[in-house]
Amino acid sequence: MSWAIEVNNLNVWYGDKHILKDVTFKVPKNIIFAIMGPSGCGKSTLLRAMNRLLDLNPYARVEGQVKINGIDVYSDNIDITWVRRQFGMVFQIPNPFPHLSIYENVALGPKVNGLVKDKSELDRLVKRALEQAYLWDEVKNDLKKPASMLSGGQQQRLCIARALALKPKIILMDEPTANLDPVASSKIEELMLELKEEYTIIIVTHNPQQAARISDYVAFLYMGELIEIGETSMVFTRPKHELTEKYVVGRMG
Amino acid sequence: MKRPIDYGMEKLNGLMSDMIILSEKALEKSIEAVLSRVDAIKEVRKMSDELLFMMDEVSELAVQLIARYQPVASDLREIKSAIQVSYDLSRIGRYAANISEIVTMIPESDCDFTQFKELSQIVLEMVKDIGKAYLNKDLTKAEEVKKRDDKVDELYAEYIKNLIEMNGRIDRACLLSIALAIRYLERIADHTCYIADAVSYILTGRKQ
Repeated sequence: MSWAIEVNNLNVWYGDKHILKDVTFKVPKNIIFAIMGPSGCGKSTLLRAMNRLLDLNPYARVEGQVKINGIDVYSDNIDITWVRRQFGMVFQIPNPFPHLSIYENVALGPKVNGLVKDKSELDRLVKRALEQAYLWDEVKNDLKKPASMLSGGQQQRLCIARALALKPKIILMDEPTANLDPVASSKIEELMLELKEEYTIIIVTHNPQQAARISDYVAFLYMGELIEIGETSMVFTRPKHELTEKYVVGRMG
Repeated sequence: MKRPIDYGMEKLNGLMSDMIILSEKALEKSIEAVLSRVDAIKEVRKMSDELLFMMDEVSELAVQLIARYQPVASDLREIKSAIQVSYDLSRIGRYAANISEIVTMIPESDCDFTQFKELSQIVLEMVKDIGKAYLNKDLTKAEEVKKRDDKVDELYAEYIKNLIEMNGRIDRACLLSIALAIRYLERIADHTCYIADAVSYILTGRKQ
């Protein structure tokens, strides 16, 4: 079986603080993989270790492997740009470039990275990305307007379109619905289920019900340790570990 | 600290406890009625009807808990099991009513219910013990009750064989009433096994 991503003995420190402890797991392709756990358990750090976003933190130190297509993103002489291009990332607070137009928000990445030859190819790519993010119908007549005019849920879908335009292999989502109302949240969830046909999605969530609804596999992280990993249907009916049980039924802390 | 769902779970357990007490009472009453040839049909049927009504209450509450709290893991297993066990308890009530009805079939002349008496004592103890095992989530006790079912099956087969051999030598109504009564007891014992499976499922996620 070929894996979308393999994480081997990953350790992360912030200064002296040991944040992730010997985390090892594999994610199959074209699934939604949820990482859940209480605040401060290291889930966002784990996501940021995958696409080497942690490099931007001068206090962070990483040991271990993160393999994508068999290539360790932490190996020497790796092209960081290549690493980042494998991943699209969506954050908790929608962060489109507020003053750029809706069109430019999506077009900027492909233009800067030289993914397109001409304007018509760029137009097609932008349209396709917006369609994939289920936003096209809502914004097709407002492409020149600033992204800031969109609602929170639309802005989040714009961020997803922006990520898709760069044709990543894996989409990392860090609490993508934490700031959205239930209707906007369920749109994002529906969108994720569609996108897994083409991409592998790794989502961090502190909402176990969300993990139960949308993920195929789920990992439970607690104080930097991977406590349990398994098929979502099993973890939410017959968790193996007592800590997982406590967390999913809401008896933790 | 109690979680919001805990208030509902307590209510569910209260209902289950009431059902357990009532099903035991119904069986005890029906056995007593047969052994002393007393008409308790109305009384036991009433208990059986009440058990059916309570079964509906359990499923209604279970659906509400699922809709409101999205239970998972042990909570979910317990709710699912309550639906199933409430059905088993209502069946025990129904068989008790059937046993009480046998009184009208038993002929006035000699009809020996010794075998029924022997089996009824074992089965009544199984019902009482499985009720305790369910409420206390006691897997050891549940498994032990389930083991006793082998003895029940063995005795049942033996008694039926005896009855067949006695055909022609005893009154047909007598023979039939004994056969039916022990058949109902054997079925009740099976339901205690299903409840034992539910206890195991709640605690381990697996049936025995």
